[in-house]
Amino acid sequence: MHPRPHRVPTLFLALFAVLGGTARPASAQQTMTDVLGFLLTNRSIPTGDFVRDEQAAAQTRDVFARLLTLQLATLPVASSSAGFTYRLDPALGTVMRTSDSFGPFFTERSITAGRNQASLGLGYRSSTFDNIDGRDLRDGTLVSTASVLRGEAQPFDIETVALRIRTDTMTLTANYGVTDRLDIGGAIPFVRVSLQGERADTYRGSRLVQATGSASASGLGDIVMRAKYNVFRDGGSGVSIGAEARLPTGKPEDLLGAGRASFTPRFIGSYDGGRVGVHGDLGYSFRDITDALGYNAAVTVVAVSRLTLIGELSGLRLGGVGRLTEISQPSPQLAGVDTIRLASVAQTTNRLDAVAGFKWNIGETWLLTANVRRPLTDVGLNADWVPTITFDYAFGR
Amino acid sequence: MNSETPKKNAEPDPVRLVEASEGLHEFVAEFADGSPLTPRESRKPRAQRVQEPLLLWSDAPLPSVEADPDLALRDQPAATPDVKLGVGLDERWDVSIPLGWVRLAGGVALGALVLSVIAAGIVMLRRSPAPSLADLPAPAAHTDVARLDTSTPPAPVLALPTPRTAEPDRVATVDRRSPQGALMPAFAGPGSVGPASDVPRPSQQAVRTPPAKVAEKGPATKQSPAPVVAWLRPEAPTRTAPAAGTNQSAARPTPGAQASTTSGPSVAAAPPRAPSAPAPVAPPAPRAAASPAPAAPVASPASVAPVTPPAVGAAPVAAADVPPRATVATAAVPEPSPSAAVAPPPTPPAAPAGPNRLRALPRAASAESPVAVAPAPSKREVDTHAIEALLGRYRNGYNSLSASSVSAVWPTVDEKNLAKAFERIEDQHVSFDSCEIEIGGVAAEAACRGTARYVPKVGNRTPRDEARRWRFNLRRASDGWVIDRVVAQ
Repeated sequence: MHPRPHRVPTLFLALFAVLGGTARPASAQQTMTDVLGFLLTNRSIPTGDFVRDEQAAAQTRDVFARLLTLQLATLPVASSSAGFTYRLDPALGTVMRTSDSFGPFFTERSITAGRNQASLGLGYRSSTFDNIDGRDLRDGTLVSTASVLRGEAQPFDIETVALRIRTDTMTLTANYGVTDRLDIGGAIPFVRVSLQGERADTYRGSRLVQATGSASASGLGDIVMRAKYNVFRDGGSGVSIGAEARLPTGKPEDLLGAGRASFTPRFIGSYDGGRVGVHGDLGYSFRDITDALGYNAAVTVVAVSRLTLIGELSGLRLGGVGRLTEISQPSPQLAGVDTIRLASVAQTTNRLDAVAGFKWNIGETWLLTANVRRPLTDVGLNADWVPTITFDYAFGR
Repeated sequence: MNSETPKKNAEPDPVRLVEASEGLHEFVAEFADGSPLTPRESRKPRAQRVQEPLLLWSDAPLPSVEADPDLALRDQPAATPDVKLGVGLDERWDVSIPLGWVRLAGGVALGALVLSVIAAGIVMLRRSPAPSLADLPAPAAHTDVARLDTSTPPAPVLALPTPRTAEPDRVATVDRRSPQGALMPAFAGPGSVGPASDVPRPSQQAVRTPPAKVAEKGPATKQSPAPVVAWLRPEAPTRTAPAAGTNQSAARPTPGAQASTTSGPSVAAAPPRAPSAPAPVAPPAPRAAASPAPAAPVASPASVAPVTPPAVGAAPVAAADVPPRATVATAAVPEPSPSAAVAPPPTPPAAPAGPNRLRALPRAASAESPVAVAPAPSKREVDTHAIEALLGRYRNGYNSLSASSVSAVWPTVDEKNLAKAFERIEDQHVSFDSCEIEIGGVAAEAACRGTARYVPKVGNRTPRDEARRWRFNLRRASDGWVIDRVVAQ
């Protein structure tokens, strides 16, 4: 019933290949950024300044791309295998389970898997984005360009965009305990991004679709390499330091990757009180899309020995991603008319997500992980609910 | 038909010729009606007549053909027979019956004589000595026991020939009634049942045991076989060899056990003991009998009364054969618990404690010195044994995943955490391959090497074996040694 250990990687890779191969290659079409830029660029409203129109469209497109990349970069790479490891307690003279908990989802914990402990995981996550910076993406109310008589509240000529953006991410994760205190691991995401959009012009109540566009791309995302070293350990509690590197393996034009490498050092602390554990990590990303401070906190509750309930908060402080906003400028051609364009402004933003779910040991060293992520802020590109499901298998003794 | 029948029988009837030779007149009446070939009762077919019982003594040589009555009586005058003893036979036979009674009596006497001779032969055979061990086929499944027995002198209690011990109830009754009953307990019950190969070599003393008595007491025991059976069944339902009951009897050093072996009902009432092995283990009595030591208090309750042959003491020679060594050995060897069997039997591997217990006795008494009194152990040895026992309890506590048991020998252990650790283990087995114990006054250290095998409750359930080293710091407490600290690596 239990697959042999050497067959498990093959199983994961086969699933990874099958699911990842269902998407058409992006090279057969225009790039995602092309389509997104096309949909966001004004085509019908006579603003008298087409250059600004394009600049505003480009800014908006870039904000979309960065925010989407940030979403794709949030991967549950934390290892759960410490929940299967037993260590000898020299003072007690017997082995103790390293942790009764299987650990958090996105938050790192201090304990490591243990020497020669390896694990593989295959996760799937699907996100359908509903809003960006608080603006609804799907109901056609996202104003890209508008003309309004000065002094009036409602524009008389307005172009709106409706976008349906969905990402499906299959992530293969691995972790290996080099020593009792050093773990190395990685995550290989395979991403599919699909985009459908429509731009419509509404002039004095009359609506006319100006353009539609769709695109999809799939391929390798940015590969993540990580390491963690346990500095101090007391049972399941302890302090560790970690580091994470992102390799620009995903195509940025297809919104699959950031396009440049980044490095994130991380500080990890955990308190494991047996049934309840509190974990937190703090990291700072250099040269990513933008410098970002990431912080996570998690509470794990051991419901039963095979089931861990987890609640997490995941925060991100972004310095240079920007925030969408409407910029109103007088029309250079029409007196008394202002032109409103959707653009971005540099602004430090904070976003916070909540994650809840469980990790369930369904048998032997198989672990089923399920969680949902919900944004607590309206900053950035958001989906109401982001479900993730992961199967992990731990090797070793 | 009537006139033709004799002629068809070309061969004369031999029976009639025999009878006719002693009283031809009897045939006259038969043929008085003028039809000599037609008797008043229809003649039975010749073949049937030949099979009549009276032919038992009619095997005399047949007379000559001239004596054929059919021919001789034709000219005889008809006469009324004087005697008629109609017994359903042909009347011609009736007159021969008086003479037949005489012969019948003789035959009965002869038969009785033959039976007497046979009985006497049986009796003599039973008096003959049992085959020696060399004549016996080697027991296949109990070689160890046989070897053990051959190293010991013959045992009087084992001297009964096996064929006669085929019925255990019979022997049990003999024990009860015979003055030599005390000799019998070793045979009582199932121990006496079995092939001759399972019986150790008998001694000359055993030859003195009157087997006839055993045989004679047989019927009496058959009147009450149930108690013996009741004693046998719970003990060894699968017993195939005889000595198990003997072993059980021998393994009872208590007076009650002794009484049970000397009394049939007591034996029946004896509670079932541990399952006995089929091994025909010889009781320790043989060794005792072999010793030339002076008379021992064989009747002491502490002695192995069931296995030592005190009844042999009824004969002076047997009493002298009983050495005190058996008693000492029995007293020195405490009754082992089932888990503390002296040595596992070679075959079968899962032998119960009964035979082991029995084997322990002869081994304890097998010292060459007449009295196997162990020297008093030194204090260091006592401490070493105590620490070994302590480590055993420590190990058992870990194997049973009982933090309280560990705490009993290691009072300073973090029992809460240990219990927590044990809760997360499905199974654990700790074994010490070697231990070095150093004792210094009130403190001691023990360094042990071994393995720990455990099965976790969560995760891979495959047992995990890990080599371990333990270092124990021990101290002497008021009631013995305790563990102060353990470091396992």
